[in-house]
Amino acid sequence: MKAIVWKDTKKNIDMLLKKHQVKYAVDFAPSNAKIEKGYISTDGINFQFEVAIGSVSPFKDDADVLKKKTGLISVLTLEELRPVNRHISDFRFNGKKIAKLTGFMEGEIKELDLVPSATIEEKIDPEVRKVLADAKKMSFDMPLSIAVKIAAKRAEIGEKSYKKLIKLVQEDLVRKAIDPYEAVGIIAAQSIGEPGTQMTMRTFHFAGVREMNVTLGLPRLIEIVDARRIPSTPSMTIYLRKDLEKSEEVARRVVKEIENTTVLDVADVITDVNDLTVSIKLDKAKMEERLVEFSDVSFAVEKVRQVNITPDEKTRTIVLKPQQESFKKLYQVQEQVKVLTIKGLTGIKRAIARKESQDGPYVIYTQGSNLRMVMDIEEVDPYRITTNDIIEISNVLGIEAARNAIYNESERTLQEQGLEVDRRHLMLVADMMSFTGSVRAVGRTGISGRKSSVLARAAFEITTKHLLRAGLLGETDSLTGVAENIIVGQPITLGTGSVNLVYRGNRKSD
Amino acid sequence: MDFTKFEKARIVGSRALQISMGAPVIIDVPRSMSDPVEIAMLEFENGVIPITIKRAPANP
Repeated sequence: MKAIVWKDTKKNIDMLLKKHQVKYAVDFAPSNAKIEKGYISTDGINFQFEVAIGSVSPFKDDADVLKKKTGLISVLTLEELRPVNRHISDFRFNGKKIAKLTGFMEGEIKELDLVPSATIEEKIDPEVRKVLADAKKMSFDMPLSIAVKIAAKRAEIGEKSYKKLIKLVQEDLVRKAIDPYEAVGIIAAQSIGEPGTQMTMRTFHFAGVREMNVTLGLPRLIEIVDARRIPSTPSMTIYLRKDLEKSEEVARRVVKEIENTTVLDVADVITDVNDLTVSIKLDKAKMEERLVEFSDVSFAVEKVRQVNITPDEKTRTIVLKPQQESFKKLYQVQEQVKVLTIKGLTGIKRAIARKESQDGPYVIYTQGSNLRMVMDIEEVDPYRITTNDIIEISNVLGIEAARNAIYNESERTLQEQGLEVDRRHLMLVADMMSFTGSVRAVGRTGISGRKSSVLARAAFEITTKHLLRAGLLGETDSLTGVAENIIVGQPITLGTGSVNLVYRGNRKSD
Repeated sequence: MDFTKFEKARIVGSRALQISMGAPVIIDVPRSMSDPVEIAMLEFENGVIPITIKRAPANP
């Protein structure tokens, strides 16, 4: 589907938002193709608005036309502005991706082919499904893992024992179910906290794959729970598509494609103040390690403006001389050259392809994370790729994925320490952190600091500030939580405090 | 009705308080039994305590 995409100022978008249908004069001439949709971005990368385009006509100076500054060519009739969340990588421009949008462009939205996956029920083995149905008949839900085990043994143990077994499972499940109004949060906190004390003594170490470091142990657990914007060691695990995953050649190519290599990674940058030149001396060993060719570097250097470039392949040096003879310019060129990207994706500092077993598939581990761009690579399997940056997952894949990521990451961190915490405690934490629709930290900036009750917040931190604010704004407190009720001297709404007793007189009519 | 452990505790507790303050015991109790909590438990097990609970409606 063709669409017009453009970058616009906040002011203009606000103007467009106010009117429902508006004629918008722009300095862009769309092709004759049928265009129904437009996408507007403020930063050229993320698109915040989708707009239905009614018609496109040549520019005439009418009174009811909303104008951009100069060079107006055509008038778009915009019908309805809707907020969306799209990324520049969703669009193709003449079949190509671009990294950033500057003005108007005509692009094509990458169409997704939706393949309905089998429902959970369809995936279950029919024998197991029978066991589940039997449990359902006895009005309880059996966990799938137990049903699988029972189904496997059903023939061996005989029908009579089978019936008895189901009954036993039911009894056990009912007995172990948590009663309503149990203080599960406290139990979860203790159950995670206690193994946490054992972690402190054994960790603060890094376990690495060659020169790659990954934060583990308690520091990592704190990081997850604090919902840090960027983890201290972001890293990705990238799997290749099933048909390509054993090919060394493909793995190498993907590594080369994603690894962000700057000039400083493969060369020394020498500034000669006498001649006013910046020379790049390429290191052969480093180049081979990073799979960089001389031509890659010379191509990248062409991006530097207002300099004369003299590459010399024999001595592997590239000399840059600013056209303008000034120290200031020389310094600017030097700084620009140092951080010049030769190839790769932003954020990914290092990537290593490894085989897990002798003839197993290649798996790529990276230092640094860029989920959105890596998922977009042709050879990568987007369904199995993971990153340890939870906030990034929440931005790219949504809150449900982030919730699972919080759970998986904390589970894995504890597992690596040889600690066993029941998954339900971790699930509760993950749910509490994500149920509002965005990932919230556990501490003062998150769950505790944003409780709806004034008294609970006042009890937690900066009492006077919260009470004063509540007084000024006339906030109400519905006294539904624990801290509030303790403050006012009422039974708390948990455990036995949650029960309302009623006199049951006249037993005969019962 | 199945009571949760909290509901059971509240019912037995309230009944024991009544008994301890001299309320007539509803069922026959062995002479040796003098602890009000124990008596309340016996009454609860026989389902004779004239107290029940009012539950909040389930979340929609």
